[in-house]
Amino acid sequence: MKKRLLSLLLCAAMVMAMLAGCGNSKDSGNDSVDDKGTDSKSEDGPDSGKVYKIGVSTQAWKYEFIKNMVNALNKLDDDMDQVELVMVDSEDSVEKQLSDVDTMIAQGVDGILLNCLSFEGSSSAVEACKNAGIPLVEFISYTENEDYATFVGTDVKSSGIMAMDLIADAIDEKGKLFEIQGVIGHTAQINRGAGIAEELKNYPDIELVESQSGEFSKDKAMAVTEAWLAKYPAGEIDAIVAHNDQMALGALNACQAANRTEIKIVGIDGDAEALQAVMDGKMAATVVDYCEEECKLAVEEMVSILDGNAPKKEILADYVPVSTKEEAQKFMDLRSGN
Amino acid sequence: MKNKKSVLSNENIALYVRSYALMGIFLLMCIAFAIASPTFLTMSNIIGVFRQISTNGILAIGMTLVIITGGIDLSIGPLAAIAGVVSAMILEKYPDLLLPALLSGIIAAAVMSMWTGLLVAKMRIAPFIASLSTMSIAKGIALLAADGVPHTISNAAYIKIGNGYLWDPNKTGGLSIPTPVLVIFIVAVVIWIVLNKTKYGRHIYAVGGNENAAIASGINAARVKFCTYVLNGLLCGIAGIVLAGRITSGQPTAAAGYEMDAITAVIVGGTSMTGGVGKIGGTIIGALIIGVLNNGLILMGVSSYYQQIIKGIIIAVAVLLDMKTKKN
Repeated sequence: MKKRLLSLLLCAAMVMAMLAGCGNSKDSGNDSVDDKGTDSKSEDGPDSGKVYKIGVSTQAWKYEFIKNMVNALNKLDDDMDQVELVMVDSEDSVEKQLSDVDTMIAQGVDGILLNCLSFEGSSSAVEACKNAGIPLVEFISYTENEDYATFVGTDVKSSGIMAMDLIADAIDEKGKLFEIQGVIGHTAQINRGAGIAEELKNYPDIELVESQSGEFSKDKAMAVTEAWLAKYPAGEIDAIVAHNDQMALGALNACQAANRTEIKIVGIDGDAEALQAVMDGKMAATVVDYCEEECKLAVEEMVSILDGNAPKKEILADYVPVSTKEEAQKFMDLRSGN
Repeated sequence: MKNKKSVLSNENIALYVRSYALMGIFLLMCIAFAIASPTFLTMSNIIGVFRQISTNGILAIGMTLVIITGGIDLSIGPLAAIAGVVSAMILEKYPDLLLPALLSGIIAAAVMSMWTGLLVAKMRIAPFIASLSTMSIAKGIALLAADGVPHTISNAAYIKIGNGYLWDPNKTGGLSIPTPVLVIFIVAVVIWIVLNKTKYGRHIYAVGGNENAAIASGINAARVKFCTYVLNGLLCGIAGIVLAGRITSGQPTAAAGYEMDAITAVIVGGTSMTGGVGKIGGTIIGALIIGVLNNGLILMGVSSYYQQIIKGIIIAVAVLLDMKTKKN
């Protein structure tokens, strides 16, 4: 009897926990609806009466960047009368992404927007769309199989180039630089690293002293930075560039704890925390991937294709360097409520 | 001589020898790194290493208990993340309620771990699978609660739990004790007492050593297991708070993959995966070995590729040496 009571209590506790979780998400959902007023320059096309149903498969929503992207797409779904977006989370599984695309095709969507998970692995989704005769627009990331209508996104390498330029600006083009890399072998690590290395050649007075992987994690980047701070006394580290903002924030934590606030730190992504750190003058700069703009371009391109226009094959959006309070504030406002 | 033998059972002697062998491996590693890098033995670096192992150390202590019962818990990363997220979000709304926020975070993790406890103890599902279920549920709840984004912690006292010192190191020439080290010390002492001085502690060993025999001697094995998973959940909660303080934010994806580091520390520390055998002290040394390895390789500027290979080899060597000394 006692045991039964206990297990009942446990189940109740579980349900409560779930409800608490859902409740919170609802709250923030409302927030983002409220915020819509701040930046709703909806670009509704002429109301032709036809509503296009567009399937969207994305990388895992657990990442802040993808979450921003999903929020932007939700907003577009609300703002644009002629589209209805059906969004699915691939949960970081290529296999799930492929079957999601199949399911959406079976549902009879008019077109598919794909934010692919794997350069090679997601390629069969391209085949599936082609066989079904459904236009495919890839956005933010692209597949090896280039048989899609259009790719909308950025040149990842240019974010590394931009980060390096921001570092150079922050330390007057001379000094000792340290690099915190992403997960070794990850596409973002390879391309961002290549951009940084390429642009570094243009600054002969900047010396790259060490590169270590922080595995895209704040905690790991902090441990790496702490080791460097112990190894190199004040004056021997001028700047740290990280392959993403979370690692830059980890480096910032370590520098602050060690009272080495003279070190300039630059990250990539434009996470809310990083934007706040730029606003507070704690981080020198971040490179913002303007995913809201890319999503808008992608949806508009899909509508244009469905309206019968020829696909543009490639639309490149620019990264946005953010090193001042005003620039950071602009993106904070855009993304608040996330 | 005879007297000593009667006090110490054979198994106890083996355990002592094992801890010394581990200690030896650890010291050898430290000497090697000290020679390779002059920074290694500086005060700020040593303090840094202790700080870095605190999260993993607390998680590994909880994992030790679970593994001694013959189980395993893969959900510890998300459990720690839940504690960080819950406490950070409560503080966002009510900035003054630090203690209630921290307690809610820890309790949230413990409540989640009841799910594993229930599945293992009551439904008799294998711990590996039961904790996989919890891992997935906890990940989802952490993401839902946080709406997928990190929540910044601005409460200075909270940040101090992860980043602070017991006293200002600048006043004592860099010598101080980081707060997270105090936390892990208290946790280790309390769990050591629970494991070695209480009836419940003896029951943990008994259930892990031979469950049927334990049940036959009147131990409620299901309850012991359930309590152990919940206790582990509490410890995950504490580790999550320390981690959140250290990274100054409650992140729903924090501590992802930490279960492997924790399990490694437990095994290197001499706890048997089959249950019934294990010591808290060994686990702490195991965590230190991993922490020193990470730190030393970074100081030497070894590239990430080699770091992974070296770590794998050292883990195997440590366990092999340990097994050898056990046989002797």
